Amino acid sequence: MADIQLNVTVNGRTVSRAAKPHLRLLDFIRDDLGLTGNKEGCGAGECGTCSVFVDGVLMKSCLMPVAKAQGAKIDTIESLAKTGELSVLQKAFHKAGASQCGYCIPGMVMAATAALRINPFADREEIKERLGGNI
Amino acid sequence: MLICDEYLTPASLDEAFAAMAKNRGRYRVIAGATDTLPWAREGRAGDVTIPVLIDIAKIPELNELRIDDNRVRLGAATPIQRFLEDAALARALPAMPRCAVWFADDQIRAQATIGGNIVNASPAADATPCLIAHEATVEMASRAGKRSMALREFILGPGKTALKEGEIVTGFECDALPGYGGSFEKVGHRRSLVISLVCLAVLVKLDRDGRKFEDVRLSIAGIRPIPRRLREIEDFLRGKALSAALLEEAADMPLDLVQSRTRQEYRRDVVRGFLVRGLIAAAKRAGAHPDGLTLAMEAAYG
Repeated sequence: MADIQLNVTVNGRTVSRAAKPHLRLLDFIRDDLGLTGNKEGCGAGECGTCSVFVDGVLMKSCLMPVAKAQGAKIDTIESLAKTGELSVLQKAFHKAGASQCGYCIPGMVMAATAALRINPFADREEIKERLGGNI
Repeated sequence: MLICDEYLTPASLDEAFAAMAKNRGRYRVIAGATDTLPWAREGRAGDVTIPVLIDIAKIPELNELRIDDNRVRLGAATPIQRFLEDAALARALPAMPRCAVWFADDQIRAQATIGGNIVNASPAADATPCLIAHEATVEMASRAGKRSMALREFILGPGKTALKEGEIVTGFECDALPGYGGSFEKVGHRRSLVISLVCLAVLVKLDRDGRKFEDVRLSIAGIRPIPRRLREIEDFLRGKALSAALLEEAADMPLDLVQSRTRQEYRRDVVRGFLVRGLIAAAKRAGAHPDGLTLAMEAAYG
């Protein structure tokens, strides 16, 4: 197996590490880096709980072969509460009691964060559109 | 799970061809990978081992974008999201943003490529009928050189294209159609991540008064093994004044279009509805005069 020598930035930190070539970005993040916030819900690119930012664009990490992330800036759900304090959106989810089993929530929070980063004044319809990639 | 021994990211076409020649019989070319990865899972293909994956998404020729007054050249690795984000591209290819807004979801659109959608040649591929309506040609390259052909002749059947061993699709060229109105009708069980049962791309150009059809292009897919232009309806509509009666007559033309394995009766109903609704939406975007395209029509078919 020809390992990929991956050089990326993850949640602001430089990471330089060998990775098996068949891994998905999701596997690398969870198993190699121990960042288990984002999850594998379906493994089919439908539920969105694997969603992470790659160079600022929200993408499904279960659909991304790890080599595709070469040189990229990756931000997982862990990047939102970096200083130890929940982001405004995370606090809102918490306050509204949005999480039940919690499995879809990392993806929902990422998609909601992406939606408001794109348009801070997004109305209900636009938000629904932006969450269309999550169950 | 998709298992490979080597994942190559060639920086140029020559590097890609060399990798393909070196690994003949044991490689697959991928671009966005958004179809290939979910295919290799339990319930579909199961675990799949492909010794060498050759990722061509970053090759410069496949990422070109050229728009001039008459033609657009799109690199094969153009992500679907670009049709929603690039205003000039959206204006030049009026049906493509309408197709893109229905395509998968935000996350997948950022990674999925137009070349991948077309080369996979699913009967439910959405980009294919849409590009056919824009009179697209496919450009292919190999060590032997380049060739091109009409996109409508490139698709041979479900999962089958005219691409030969050693060839890569590098891009597409199509008509630039600013001033046309476009629409894309699609049906499925939900708003996102829908596999088309029927999909219809419509392009309309009206005369200066916005009353008569100057040009119409219709391309349908999802209901048959390969997409089809509806030239009979296009020819019927050209030169005629827009009206509810005209659209009904066009939708009732006896064309035996549905060749799906399932749900033929349902799809026939949908095709009829899509023809009228798609033409109304495209005509509206093309600047239809309110006498020909009344609010009552819009309400009836919207």
